[in-house]
Amino acid sequence: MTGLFGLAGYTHGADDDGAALAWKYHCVTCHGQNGIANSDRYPNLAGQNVAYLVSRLRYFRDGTEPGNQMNAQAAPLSDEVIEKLSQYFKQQG
Amino acid sequence: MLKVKHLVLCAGLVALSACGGKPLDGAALAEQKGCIGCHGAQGEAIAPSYPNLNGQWERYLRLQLRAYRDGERENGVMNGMAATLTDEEIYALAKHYGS
Repeated sequence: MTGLFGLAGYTHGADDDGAALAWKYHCVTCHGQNGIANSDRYPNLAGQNVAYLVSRLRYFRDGTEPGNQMNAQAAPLSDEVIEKLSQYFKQQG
Repeated sequence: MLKVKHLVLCAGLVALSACGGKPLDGAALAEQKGCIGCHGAQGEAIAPSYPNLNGQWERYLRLQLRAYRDGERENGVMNGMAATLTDEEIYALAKHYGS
């Protein structure tokens, strides 16, 4: 059963690994599955520092930096998910 | 043919002078403006709390520097750093760090 739901969209690895989370939370739409953005309007995340990524995602989520299209994207992220996503994109560099 | 080459050369010279002559040295600017204090000379940040700029899109960097300068993006550090940058300097810095 879990397998069936898990298969929707991303099919490799556990549901909560970085790659699956990047898909689930739509990071990949702009930043690419491997952290290379699909447009030069968006930042590449591959190899970026974890501490920096964590702080940015928290700023966006908590509204410390308002008025950015990332605010809505980061709204549903828990601290744990933020950490996993940051680690994942760092490792793509 | 010679005439055409001449024309192209002249047009190029006019365009160059209109842009203020020699392009700015991005590496020197990065030092002068204090970018290297956090982002390093080659875009590798000196601490993990700062972003690496190497491997970043040149255009993305240009857009962010403009947004910081013009106050469209708020950041306690970067608004001040970018405040006095001209478009030409932003272009040179983004070219130096970006790809």
